[in-house]
Amino acid sequence: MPSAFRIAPDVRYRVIDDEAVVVRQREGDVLVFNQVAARVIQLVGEGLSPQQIGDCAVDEFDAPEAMIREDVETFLDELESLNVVERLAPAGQDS
Amino acid sequence: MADAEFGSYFLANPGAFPETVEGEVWGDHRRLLDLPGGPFLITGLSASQADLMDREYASVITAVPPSSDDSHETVVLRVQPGFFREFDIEGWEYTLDLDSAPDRLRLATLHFAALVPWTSGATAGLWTSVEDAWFQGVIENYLRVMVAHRLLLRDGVLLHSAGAVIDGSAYLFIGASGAGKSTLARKALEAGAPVLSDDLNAVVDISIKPAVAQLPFTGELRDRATFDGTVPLRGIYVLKQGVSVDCEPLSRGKAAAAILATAPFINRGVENLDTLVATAASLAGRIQVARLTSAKDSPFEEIRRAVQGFQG
Repeated sequence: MPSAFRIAPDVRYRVIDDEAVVVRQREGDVLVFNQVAARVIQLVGEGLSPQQIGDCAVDEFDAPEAMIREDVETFLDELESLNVVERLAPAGQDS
Repeated sequence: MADAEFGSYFLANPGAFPETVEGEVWGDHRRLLDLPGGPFLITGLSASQADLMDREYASVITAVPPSSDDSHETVVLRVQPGFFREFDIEGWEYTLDLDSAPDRLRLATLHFAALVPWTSGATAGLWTSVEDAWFQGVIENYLRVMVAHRLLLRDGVLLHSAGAVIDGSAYLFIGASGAGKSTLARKALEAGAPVLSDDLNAVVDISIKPAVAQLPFTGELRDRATFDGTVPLRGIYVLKQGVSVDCEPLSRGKAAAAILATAPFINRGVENLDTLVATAASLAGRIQVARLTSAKDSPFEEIRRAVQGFQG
């Protein structure tokens, strides 16, 4: 099972309409994410696991389940590489 | 315990950064500045420091009332030149070390260090070794940071921007360094449009009716800014270099992001980020924000038509 994530301590975000505005204080920049990524960020902020985030996204977005789950994983990886979210435990371990 | 890196470029002994506001004042002069986010009471000034402030900030200096509970007080304290590290300023681009914590802000840069406690009613300390012309830079660079922080607590935000007044309304032009803010301000002046500032503008009353308040801090056009007072804000434009003049609306998210990216100083500490993000979102929801593409030689009249036409 993929490890859980949390919002990085130096990051603040706000969902405005369908976009997420993310401020990375350490990097000193501002990023804007689309609707699906915005929802993923919100759900990470609510403390949901990747599995739960995938479940929510499948319920909320009108697209094939496999594609949505793949998108969620891709977004989580991207958000981690951008230091927007942090992994709480090594991959492959429950957290 | 002082942070190991904070102030190391500017202070001879960063570890000795004062932990409380105390020391020897320069003198007994005081000045009250009516600036957005203020008023700001500056005490402990020498006669020459006070004279310098009178010359530079005549338009915003007001009488000090017997009780100025509403103001944020800063006492100017004397330190020896050796307090600061010597370095070659030839070609140096101004920077400022800023260390933000929930209970206080620390600053260190050329010729000054400051400790600003956020406790209500607490006096801030500004340590400097200069009282000559260098003091103008000290007080201005300090006040820029203070206005940015205090304004955010009072329904406003400071933005790196060029501001012009067209038909009684303010238009702010934002963008990265080199995007053309000063060029646009110069074109506005040449076309007879009053200019608020080509560097920093204070947006006030965001939740009521956003307006731009005059600041005595300007960039290249310092002596040519031609507008005093407060004027309703009509639009914010993100500058982009192109071949012709064109306006393109931004989504609220992208508009808020553009506003956030141009708010100086306060986005360097997490303590104020929530407020800053909320303020930018609020402003983006109340004011039309667009991307303005123009060429270097686009006449201001064409830009004026585009922004006014865009606003409808």
